[in-house]
Amino acid sequence: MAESMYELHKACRCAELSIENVGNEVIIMGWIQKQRNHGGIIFVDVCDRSGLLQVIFEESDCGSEVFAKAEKLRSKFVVEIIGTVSKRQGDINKNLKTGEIEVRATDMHILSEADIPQIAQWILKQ
Amino acid sequence: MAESMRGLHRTCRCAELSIENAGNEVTIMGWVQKQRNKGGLIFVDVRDRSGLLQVIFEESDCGSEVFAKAEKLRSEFVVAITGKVCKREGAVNKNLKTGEIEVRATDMRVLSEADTPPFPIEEDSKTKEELRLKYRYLDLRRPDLQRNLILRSQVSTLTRQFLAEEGFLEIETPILNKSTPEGARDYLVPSRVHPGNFYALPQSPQIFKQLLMCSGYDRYFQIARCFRDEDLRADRQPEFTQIDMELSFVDVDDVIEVNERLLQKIFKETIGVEVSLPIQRMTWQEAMDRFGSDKPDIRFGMELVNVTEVVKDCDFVVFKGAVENGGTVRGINAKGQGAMPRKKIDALVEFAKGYGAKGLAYIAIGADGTIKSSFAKFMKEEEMQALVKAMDGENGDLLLFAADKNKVVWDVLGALRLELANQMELLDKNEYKFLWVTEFPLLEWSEEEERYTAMHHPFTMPMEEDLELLDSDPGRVRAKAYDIVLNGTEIGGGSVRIHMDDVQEKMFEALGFTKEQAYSQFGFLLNAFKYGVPPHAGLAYGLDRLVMLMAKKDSIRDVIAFPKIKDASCLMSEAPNVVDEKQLEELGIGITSNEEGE
Repeated sequence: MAESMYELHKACRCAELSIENVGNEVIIMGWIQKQRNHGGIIFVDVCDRSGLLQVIFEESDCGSEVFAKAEKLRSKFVVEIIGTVSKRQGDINKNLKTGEIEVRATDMHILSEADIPQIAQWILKQ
Repeated sequence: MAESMRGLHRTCRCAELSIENAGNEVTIMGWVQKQRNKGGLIFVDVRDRSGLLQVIFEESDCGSEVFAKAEKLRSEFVVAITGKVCKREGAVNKNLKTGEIEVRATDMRVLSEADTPPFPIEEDSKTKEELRLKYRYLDLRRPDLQRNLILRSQVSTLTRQFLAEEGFLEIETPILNKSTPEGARDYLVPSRVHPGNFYALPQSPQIFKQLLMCSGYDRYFQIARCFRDEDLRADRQPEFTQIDMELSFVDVDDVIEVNERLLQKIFKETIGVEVSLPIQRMTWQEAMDRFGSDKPDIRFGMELVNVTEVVKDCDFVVFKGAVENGGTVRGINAKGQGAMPRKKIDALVEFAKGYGAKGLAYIAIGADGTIKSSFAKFMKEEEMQALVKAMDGENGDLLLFAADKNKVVWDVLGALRLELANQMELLDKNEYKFLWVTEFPLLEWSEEEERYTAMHHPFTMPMEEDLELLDSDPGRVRAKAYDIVLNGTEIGGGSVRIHMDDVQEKMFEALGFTKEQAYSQFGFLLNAFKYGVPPHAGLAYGLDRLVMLMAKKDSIRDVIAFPKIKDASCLMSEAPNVVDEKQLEELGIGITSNEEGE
């Protein structure tokens, strides 16, 4: 189910963030490029027209409900993510504008799911 | 004989010169507006798009050969003149930007001679529009049209600048498209490669801009040409221009906010009008109740008053009948018009009938307080007094009433209000009153098709609090749709789009779409919506109408370089025309009848 947007006017684009924003609370909106579940920690690459940004979900940051939603994320879902910019804990990715940072998610809304949505199902079933 | 321009360079435009250039040697190029030969002295007004400049030829300055050429100059010759800027020897012309100066010519070349034009090239032309449109290239030389088109260009340039700074990307969408039956009639273009198949010219880039949002471009704009093959209507063009935009991850307020700043910039930097923000907002319901229009002109009052409660028990069948049939009785007060002659009032009644009224009831209050009314005999004295009081009627006022279904009452009084404002000269073209009209109904009932149709388009988002009404009472659902209105003209409109599939499903159900219809019309958009769609919203302005109001003109033809006339033909190029048999053959098209005949 798609959710509504929240405090969207505070949002910035993914690759507008850099090491200088460390500590800031930010809102980003975009498409899921990739989701990797490493048990207890979920890595999500979010992209928009500016580029890619790595987002980390950990239950201790975002609570169990949001973590459960993050587990279900798949490519091309559209999401709104609220979190804090941090220095990347893993290796720096030099190929990425935002390769020195990651966002630790505190909240997330799924704005649109990808793949066969209800409208298509409805049309198919008619 | 035309001469070459070789070796000459224009130093500036005519009206770029002022008293500060006195003493400078300049070369100007332009058209001869007028030549006056005063014996040894020839005055020539030279014109280019910047304005007029007076040039003086004297044999002692320019030599006998040039002087002889100057004697032969006539209107609309194109000339290159070199000379010296001087303070004007005669009286200063205050109506002219260059009224303090003149140029004393030292050399001149005639770059092109001209036949006598079929009408004079002058401001506020008295020539019939048909003739001017036939020779539009001459008409366009007139200063007022040049000013309008320069203004239009400035508006486009500022729009591009502003939107680019706000992160919008300018992206072009196709002109050759698929025809969709919904909406106005399409212009069709036959395909040569696919005989029997047709493209349609776009009525708007709506679906493409929504697809661009699905594709992640985030903020898009385009100054887009659109085409509608509509029936003859006053001041419509078969092709017109939109400033079209769409934004992702936004809601109503975000679209309104960025557009208010756009309008503020455009009005300030072109015509020096200060638009104070925020622009007033009004819901559709309020606009209809107060002004009888979804695009109210709020430069003047004369608001509608609902007097249903006051008259519901009276014996006047027109009022009583309307109330009993679920309608209303509303009135307007034309201040100071109580002495309007009977003949003029009758003309207003006829006018109202044109908008669906069965009649128009009136009370004319004389300067001495005596009442003349078309229905007084059906009313008790105290009922009449209560009605006058409800209308704020004072001595010398004219009160006009319509009683019918709401829609008819609104249409009639809304139109009447504007007509009276025109007659009473309440409309000042120098005043710019903006208004957002919001919360439009999502659907309107079509008597013809016996189903609901989308008031904006099928992708308009309902207001969240009305979502549950979609099933139970679709006619009452309000949409996240908004129009921007300027002086009673809708200059733009848009909406938040549906990005939630369950809502879209309900919307199509409410519209009575079958699977085939939904898919054949909007298949590629519905497919795109399978792959992650951001919340998005947009707006489009009618550029022609916007510039028309800014230029204080009454017709969009005055702000379009090469407009068509009411029957969609071009008087200058004579489009549309009969084409070669061979062209038709290639397209596999046969003409079965030609009603116009040849």
